[in-house]
Amino acid sequence: MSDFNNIKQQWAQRQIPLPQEKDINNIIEKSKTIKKKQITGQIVLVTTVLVLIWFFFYVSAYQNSRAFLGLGIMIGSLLLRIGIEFLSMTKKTYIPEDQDMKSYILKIIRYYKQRKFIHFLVTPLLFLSYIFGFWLLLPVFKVELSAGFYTYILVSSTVIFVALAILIIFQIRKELSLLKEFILGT
Amino acid sequence: MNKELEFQNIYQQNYPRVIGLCLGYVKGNEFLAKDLAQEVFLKVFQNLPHFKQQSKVSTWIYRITVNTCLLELRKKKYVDLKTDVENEETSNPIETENRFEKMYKCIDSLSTENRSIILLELEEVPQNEIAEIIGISHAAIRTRIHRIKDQLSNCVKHERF
Repeated sequence: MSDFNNIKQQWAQRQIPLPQEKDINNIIEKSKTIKKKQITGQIVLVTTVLVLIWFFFYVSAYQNSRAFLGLGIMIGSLLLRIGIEFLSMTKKTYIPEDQDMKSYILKIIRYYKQRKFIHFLVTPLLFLSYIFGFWLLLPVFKVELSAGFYTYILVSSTVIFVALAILIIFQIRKELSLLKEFILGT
Repeated sequence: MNKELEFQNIYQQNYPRVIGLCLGYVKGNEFLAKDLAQEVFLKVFQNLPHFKQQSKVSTWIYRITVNTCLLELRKKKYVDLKTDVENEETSNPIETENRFEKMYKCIDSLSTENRSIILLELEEVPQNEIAEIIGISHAAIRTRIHRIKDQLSNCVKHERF
């Protein structure tokens, strides 16, 4: 008997776990939960947009040109980022897993290459414009708010910006390593 | 037939094939293979309404299995797995374990594409179906399988890890 036939024979003798009835229900439930989460995500997204627009009018930002510009840039870059992320995630969801392996891997690589463009160009630009919008608002805050609250906003925002930058870098590194793995593996 | 009932039938009929293939991707680690198989069947359930019957159900499921295993393995980076093998029919469990460990490690040392091809061949999937699953011609699969068989046999015979 050839070596490979030997291997094949041994392979056939492996102990294979049996299907469990409860796993079927778990899978169906999990699928329903995922669908619910997707709908919740869409509701949260629409609500965020509505709240930001409401906030813009609530603080009457349009009456002060500096506040209008600052808040406008912040809200605009945030909305743009959320929109891009949402579209990107939707795009990935629609890469069908039931196509042949070669086509699937090519599509996944193309997807992560597009993500690279978002990570290296779009995200830093939007992040910088967000900070720029905030910087434009600072003189307005200084006039309108107490000195203590102004300092609080300044310090807490700096901490948030640094934490966000670290989080973004971490996420980018994770996705880039995934892309590298795919390119190397093919 | 409603979707859940249809899924239940597909699950019962195809679970052994799916878990068998997943085991090959995770060096026989049963816990991880079950995790992967659950992910595969979740996608089967989600994609079931879009299945156009252009291929056999088994080919369709194998495609999902191969793609899911490749993606999940890269995401979670299951590196340096401990080989976990069980076999009931052989009298010497240590010898069996060593043999399986060597086999799994040799399979794992193959390229992504070759690993998928040989795992499907070991699962006795017909070569024309393997060609459909991987996305290359039948003739190319035939040549490739011949080459991988030699590579794998040599590895199991000679290589030390």
